[in-house]
Amino acid sequence: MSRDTIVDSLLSILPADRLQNSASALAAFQSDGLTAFAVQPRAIVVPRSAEEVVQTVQWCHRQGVPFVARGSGTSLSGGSLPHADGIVIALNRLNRVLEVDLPNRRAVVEPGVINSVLTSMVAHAGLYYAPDPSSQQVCTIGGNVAFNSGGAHCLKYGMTSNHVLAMKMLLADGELVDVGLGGGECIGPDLLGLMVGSEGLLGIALEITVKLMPRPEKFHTVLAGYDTLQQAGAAVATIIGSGLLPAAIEIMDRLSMQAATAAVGARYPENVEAVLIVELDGSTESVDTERCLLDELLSKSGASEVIVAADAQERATIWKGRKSVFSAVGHLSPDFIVQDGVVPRSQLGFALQRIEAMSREAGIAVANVFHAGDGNLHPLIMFDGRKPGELQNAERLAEKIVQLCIELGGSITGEHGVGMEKRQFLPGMFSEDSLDCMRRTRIACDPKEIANRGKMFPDAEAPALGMYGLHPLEKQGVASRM
Amino acid sequence: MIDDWCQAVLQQDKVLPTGGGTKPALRAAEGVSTVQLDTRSLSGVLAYDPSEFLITAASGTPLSELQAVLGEHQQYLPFDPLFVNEQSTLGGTVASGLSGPRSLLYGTLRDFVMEVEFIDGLGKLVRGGGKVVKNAAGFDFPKLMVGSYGRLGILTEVTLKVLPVPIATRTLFQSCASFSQAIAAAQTLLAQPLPIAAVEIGPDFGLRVEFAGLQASMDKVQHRVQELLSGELERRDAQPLWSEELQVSGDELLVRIAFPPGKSLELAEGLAGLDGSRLVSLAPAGGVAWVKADGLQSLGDMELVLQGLGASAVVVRGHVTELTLLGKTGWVGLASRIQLAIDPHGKFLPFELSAQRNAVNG
Repeated sequence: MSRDTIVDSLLSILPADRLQNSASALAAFQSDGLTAFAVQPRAIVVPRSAEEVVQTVQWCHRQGVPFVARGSGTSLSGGSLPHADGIVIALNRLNRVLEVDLPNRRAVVEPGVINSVLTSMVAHAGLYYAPDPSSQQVCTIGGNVAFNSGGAHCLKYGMTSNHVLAMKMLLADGELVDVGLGGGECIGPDLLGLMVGSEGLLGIALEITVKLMPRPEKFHTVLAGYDTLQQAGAAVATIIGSGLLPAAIEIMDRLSMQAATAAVGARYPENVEAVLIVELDGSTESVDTERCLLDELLSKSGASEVIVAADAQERATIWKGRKSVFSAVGHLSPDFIVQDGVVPRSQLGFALQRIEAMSREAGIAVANVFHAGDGNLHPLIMFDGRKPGELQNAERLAEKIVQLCIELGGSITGEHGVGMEKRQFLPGMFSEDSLDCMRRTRIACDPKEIANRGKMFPDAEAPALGMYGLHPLEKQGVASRM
Repeated sequence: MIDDWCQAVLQQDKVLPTGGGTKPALRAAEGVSTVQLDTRSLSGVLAYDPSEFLITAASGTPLSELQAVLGEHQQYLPFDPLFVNEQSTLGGTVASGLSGPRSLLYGTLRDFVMEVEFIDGLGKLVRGGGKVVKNAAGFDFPKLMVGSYGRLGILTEVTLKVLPVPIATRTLFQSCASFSQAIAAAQTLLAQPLPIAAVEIGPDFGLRVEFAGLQASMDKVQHRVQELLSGELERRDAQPLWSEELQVSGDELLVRIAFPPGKSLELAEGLAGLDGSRLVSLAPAGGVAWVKADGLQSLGDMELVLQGLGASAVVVRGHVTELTLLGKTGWVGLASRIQLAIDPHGKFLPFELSAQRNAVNG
């Protein structure tokens, strides 16, 4: 359908102000957090109610027009990249918190509610919403649901999927279904579990019931410096093996520390190759007991220096440094690619050595930050896209790193999703029969394959090439990545 | 063996995977001719590296064997599996979607299934998830298989996330005067960031709370619990939780209810008013209750209570002629659509047939 036909037809079902198709609007929606890709949609629909979303999706289904549901567009895998023949359904106006049930610690939200807004709304009751992707100041809960977003604290608290209790789901063929009962357990197959993390390929979540957790009353956050990355990796194994389950265990390498120091003035132990961030949280009684054990483990692990956050301010500084790394690296290098592979924990040291060797061989600098507790790597591959061949070289290195994760028995993505970026690698993890079964499952909910068409599955049409680098929001310092 | 099963799916009209037979009501299909595939012939731990917190085993592996292997390394299955002493299998546990009362500490079964391999309705071997503790690639088939009741595929292999056994646990009991008082006490505790592993309310309004952590913190946590709950607390470490007593005899039926969390009190009181049914335990945090019914004739009244509260239920043990679903069954429509995609020729037992029959009978 031509742009004019689409717009005319949509105007027959929606008020005119719900539609945007000016050149500037189309340009504003052409990319998400993965700026390598840019595609302009035919039009953008900004519904004001769930009913308008239903009408729009039913229209798409009738007409066979592809749609991409979008929140704040912070996807790092190109998950909310528009389709050239389709429309974007921007859910930002569906941003009401519909219900807060304090005694039962849950909230019902619309998909456009910002992650951190929910936490600030329930903070007075000592509660919070646990999933904490680094973009939580701007990303929406609907987007988190689509990509099963993680964060630094998912070692202990799990991903988005572990915090969604029920949803009112609009399937791509326009049917509304309820999944989950709101208590965390259900009867029959875990359809809610299938929907969360389905990358927008099955439909749109219109109401999301999430778990709220009691805010930990005490934190114990430490920075431990090591002479080698391997020592830091070994310390992770020792901590995990001791029976402690910290809220977060992160590792940053020297380059990441330099970037964080330059960007936000974070302070790290002197002359170390790697720093470990460990955070314990919970009740005062538990943390007081566990910190003794952690101190003992760290002192035996060969740490050259251990810095303990003395107060909330110092804790915030440690996390600010950690969460700033991606955008900080963006200031050191004009462009970069972020990878999100996972390796078995025991292979962390080996994987890092290999990445280091590959980086040297390619002559490309790579900074490493990772969620060490669960083996989730985030190598940052730095390059200058204005110089001929550098993007291609960086992409080749990125591909090698993804292949390495597959070879080591890991995953191509821990928390960013497959989206546009990694679909060609999916067959490295799953057989043709497995992918076919996933495809049939998709068609059961979306017979015309209009929901986020072209994402996740490997045979989708070719992407538009662009440049890796900072998202406009990151350049403004509004968003950061994990 | 797996090849044989793939062939069976291709050649037979209906196939039914079976395990230890500890949840027989979930596979009941009287009058339907099925070829039963006993998964116990595919048994054994396939991979276990304690430092990875992952264990991979064939679907017919008894959970008791898994627990023994994990126990040697002070690790355990944090979702607190049921019927382990009765030789329940890994595949049957995943397909039945059942977690135990101690799943409050780290999560229920769905949070621990990292990878599954199963035979789909086309006789093909399908894999979903990965052998890592964190993974976002592809559709979450591991979760979809939780509670699939053998109707979405024949599980052949499962990888579970495991965790270190809590070093110490402690169980406290408080007698309450009413469900209302017990539920209020449970909510008071659950609003605090305490390391609570289980909270259960029994038929006589008793409240049992188990917490877990390091030995040195146990007395302090108990003190804190005592301060939060007025009234006497008694230590009952040695006694099993109510929901560990799930035996049925004669015509008795064991029913598992999943309910919206705000409905704990209405459900407990509604069930207490029924003649032919008895509450075994109610876990307000997870929204799960276990009930014993005298027989099929008692399910009609229970159905009315469940419908009124938007709760769903299934008969897990006892003699029924088919999968017996109660209460809200809105999920069956979507489950059947997905089943049609995974099993286009109807080789597995349907979800829907039972729902239709129940609607007629109910």
